[in-house]
Amino acid sequence: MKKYGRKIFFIVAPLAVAIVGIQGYRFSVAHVEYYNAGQPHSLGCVSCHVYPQRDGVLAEFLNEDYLSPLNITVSPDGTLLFVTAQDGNALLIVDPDQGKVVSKIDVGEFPHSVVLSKDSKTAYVSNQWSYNISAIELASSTVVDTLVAGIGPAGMAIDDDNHLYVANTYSSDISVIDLETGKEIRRLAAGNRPMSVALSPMDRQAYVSSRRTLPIPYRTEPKTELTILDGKSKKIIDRRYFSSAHIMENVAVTPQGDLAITTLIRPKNLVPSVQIEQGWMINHGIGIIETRENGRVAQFLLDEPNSFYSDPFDVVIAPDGNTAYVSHSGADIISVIDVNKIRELLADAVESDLDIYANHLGLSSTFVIRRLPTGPNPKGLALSPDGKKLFVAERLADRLAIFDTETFEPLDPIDLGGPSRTTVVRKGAQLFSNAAHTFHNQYSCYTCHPDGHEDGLIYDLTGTGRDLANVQTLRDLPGTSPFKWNGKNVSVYMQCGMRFSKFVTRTESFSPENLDAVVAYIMRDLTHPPNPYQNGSGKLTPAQQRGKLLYERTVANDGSPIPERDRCLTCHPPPNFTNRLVADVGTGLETDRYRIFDSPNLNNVYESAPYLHDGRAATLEEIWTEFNDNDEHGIVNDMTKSQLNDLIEYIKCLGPAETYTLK
Amino acid sequence: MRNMRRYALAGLVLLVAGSLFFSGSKDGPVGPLIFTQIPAGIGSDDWIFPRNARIVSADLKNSGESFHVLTEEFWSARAPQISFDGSKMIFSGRQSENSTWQIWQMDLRNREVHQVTRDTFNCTDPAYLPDGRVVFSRAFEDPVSGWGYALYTCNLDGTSLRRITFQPHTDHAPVVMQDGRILAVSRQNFPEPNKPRIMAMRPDGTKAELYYRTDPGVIMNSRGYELEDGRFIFLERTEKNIESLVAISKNRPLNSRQVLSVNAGQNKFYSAYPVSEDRLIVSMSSVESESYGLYYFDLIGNKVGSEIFSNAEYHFLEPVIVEGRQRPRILPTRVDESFNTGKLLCLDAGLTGLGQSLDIHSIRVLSTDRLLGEIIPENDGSFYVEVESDVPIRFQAIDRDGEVLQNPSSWVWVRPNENGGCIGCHENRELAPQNKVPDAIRRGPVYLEEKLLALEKTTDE
Repeated sequence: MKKYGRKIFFIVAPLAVAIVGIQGYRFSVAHVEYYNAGQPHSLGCVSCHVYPQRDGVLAEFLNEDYLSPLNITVSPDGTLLFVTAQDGNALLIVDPDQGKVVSKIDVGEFPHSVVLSKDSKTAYVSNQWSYNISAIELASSTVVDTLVAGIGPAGMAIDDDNHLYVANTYSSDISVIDLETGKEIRRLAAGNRPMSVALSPMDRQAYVSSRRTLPIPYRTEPKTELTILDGKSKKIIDRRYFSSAHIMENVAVTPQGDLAITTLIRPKNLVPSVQIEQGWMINHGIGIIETRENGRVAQFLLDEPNSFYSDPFDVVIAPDGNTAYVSHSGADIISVIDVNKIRELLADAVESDLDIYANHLGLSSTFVIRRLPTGPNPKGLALSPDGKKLFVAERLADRLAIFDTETFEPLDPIDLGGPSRTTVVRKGAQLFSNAAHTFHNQYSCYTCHPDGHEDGLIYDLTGTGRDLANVQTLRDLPGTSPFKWNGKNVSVYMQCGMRFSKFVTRTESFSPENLDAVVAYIMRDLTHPPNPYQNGSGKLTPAQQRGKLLYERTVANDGSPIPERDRCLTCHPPPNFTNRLVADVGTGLETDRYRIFDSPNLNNVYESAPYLHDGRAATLEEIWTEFNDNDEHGIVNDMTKSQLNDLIEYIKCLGPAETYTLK
Repeated sequence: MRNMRRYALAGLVLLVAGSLFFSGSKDGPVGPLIFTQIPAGIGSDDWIFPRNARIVSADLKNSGESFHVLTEEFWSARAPQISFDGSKMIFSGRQSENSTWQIWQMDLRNREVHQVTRDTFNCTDPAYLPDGRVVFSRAFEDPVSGWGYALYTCNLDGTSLRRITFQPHTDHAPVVMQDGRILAVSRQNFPEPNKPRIMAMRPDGTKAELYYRTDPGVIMNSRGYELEDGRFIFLERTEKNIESLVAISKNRPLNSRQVLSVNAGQNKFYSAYPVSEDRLIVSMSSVESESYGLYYFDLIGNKVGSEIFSNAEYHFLEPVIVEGRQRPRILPTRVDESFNTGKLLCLDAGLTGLGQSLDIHSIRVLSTDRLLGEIIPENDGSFYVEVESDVPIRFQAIDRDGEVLQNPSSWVWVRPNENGGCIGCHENRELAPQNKVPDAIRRGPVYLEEKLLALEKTTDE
């Protein structure tokens, strides 16, 4: 019997292995096809199950801690460079002559900018995700103070009166801090998501650029503010608006003080996307404010008819005021601009000419005198005090590029000491930030998803006036599939695959390897900043507590039971506040092919205005006060005004942390 | 230690190999040169369909007489193009005096030839597409507009033959750009001959647009090519028989024309092919010679360099180098052949090249033989029409008195399910659109046949 048993074992066991193997293979093929919409793709389990992992031993092994230099400041004598390392949470002090980092000082989370005190003894670093500013004593390389400004401090400037101006991105205001006392003396309302501050000569004015459009009537041109403060009174003296423009990341003022120049993007979100050719989707350029009385606002494109220079980030102006440099973080290019040519164009232009200039793709060839190629993702720029060297933060190479501004030749770059290995996720970050995967480099993933979030605009991607799409955030996506407003994409692979190239990038789709990398980056690295509506005490505020009860309620104010489908909690349950199903909540229009929509996750939803699939609701409140007449999007019409306010207070504090356990 | 030695040895081998490779490439391109040889007695007007032409290969390093005829079995052959991996050649050939010109492919490793197209009409000027298909120029006859040449695509076995241009033009000399689009020379034949232009389009025939326009009287016959420095080179011949080598910037093709052969005196140029960053091989006829020979052309000084081959009995034309090169992008298609219409959106019919706005009452849509319909643009000047796909149409602006405001536009077409767009009529083609929702898109497209029926009904009543 034992003899037969062994024989049977040797027959059955291989058979069983073969059957399991074949079935397993079939399953894996079907599994991959399902999540990848049947697109050609190498069968790699690691693509979905390893690369995107955020935690664990494998994640630790596969990933690296990069530095990601973002902004640069040069010491007045030009002997030192100060560089914020966005992913390294550090300030790097670099000796350009030695070509190396001489000091690395840990600061807060996601440091954005660095400025020096007038005596150059202290550096101030804005920690955009720690919501504070580190004051660093340079003699000892130690953080000696932490200043509190608004939420999301980004760009900064210090005037001769020793006041620090801070653009607070997430609270959309400007802090003026007296550095003698370390106290905030003013908090001024800025545009939507202010990003940078520049002082004019003699500190007469401070210019603050902003990233997002102000609230505008539905389906009208974006309008983004450049806020101007009086240098003496520290009060706002003017608000200038750039029509059909946004993402004004940085601003600079000429040494002559005649022009303020900001980088900007000109989206064509209102134009049906019937084509990408001829700049029909997104253009990139600079905005100009003539600082004289009754000075005009103008825009010039840095693009060309068949070549686009996406995601302009920083702008610096030479000490003589004749040349400006703009970094194109999505094109790996620095544009060198003849500012005098811009002055000539402005001098000869009447208002109608300026309207044409703002859309003229051929004009850049008259004032862009050079295009300097750089490494991946050039962000912050700085000039040496004599203007003879241009320093470029190559964010996704952990390197500083240097150019000789007389010959425009590259000099030896400075390695900042980041990891030498390019991981899959890092490669994904490079692809995400680079427009080379769009027809004629017109835009990168980052263009519509700055910092992995969304740009607050609504696009007509079908080009038919139908199925308008409100751009959604890409932050904290794990556990929130399906994707796309109609919920038809079961994975990010499907979202970024073939159809994406047909409708969005309109060029060759990502190779399987590149798709792996982009997806890994999106799923692993893109996270929300801390939710400022969570007050840090670990407890909900009284209004949030009341709102939570309303969010979970099963009975209406009149005592009638609320059907399960009409409760907030049914479609938006924790941990990500989505049940990952589609539902008809009465928001579909005749122009929508699909009337049922994916229940979006509500993580940090406070920062994702406008709302609904087509961005019709300008605020969270409008979802229910304007577009829920029949209580199809949850029963809320019985609520009092204060109850609705409480509900919204609670929804605003929902975040990827363990919000739901907060009491 | 052993590994160290291995790495050192490997590094040394790489260093030597690299230096040999680069020192070799300085002297000229590696690998044979292929070109078309046409008897000298045949004039340039007959070089598209010449008799007794043949494709030959030669070694650039040897002096002239080591030619190998690659198309001995053909009565005539020309227009060679090399595949992206450098292993194959596609060309147009005619097997006998009684046959038509067809597209053929030769495996350069064993010289095996197979026929790609089997058509009753002439097919010529083939070019490889990055997805493994081929684009070429094929004759067509239309009962209204007469004869012309259109671009077609097909697989390398001749299947999936598709026409991709539909205007009453002669479309020829296609070349595939690195961005994945096709550039082709296009000259209107109907209703009256017009000057040639270079058109850009996607390989499915969508998004066709003007890329470069010539001066009146200019003739363009041979293909252009991309240079690594961002320029596109091609040849022009004026009415006075001046043949020039011209470059334009790919980034700004409509406003960057530069004549490269300005220092070349009375020399005539027919075709050019880039062999390195700073050098071309050109097909050129010097003042003393009546035949075209092959010469180097230095792009740095824009000067004619040394002669490669010339022969008084033959023209040497259409040079190409046998080498692999970067495959262009494969562009996705939204053509859906289950549709028989496409849509066109004009953002502002009144917008002209000068930025002025015309007071337009209506837009007539014309086909080659009839009025398809008349559209009243919206208040913002926009209109959105759905028209039969793959049919040439033109637009004509009419004012309130019924007067024609502008001559008909150039011929355009839409592919099945294509959604095409323009900013205005005769607009400045370097303008990006204004960011606004066109009124016409809110209403949806006007289907022209219905509109025409409605107009006819109104007229009858």
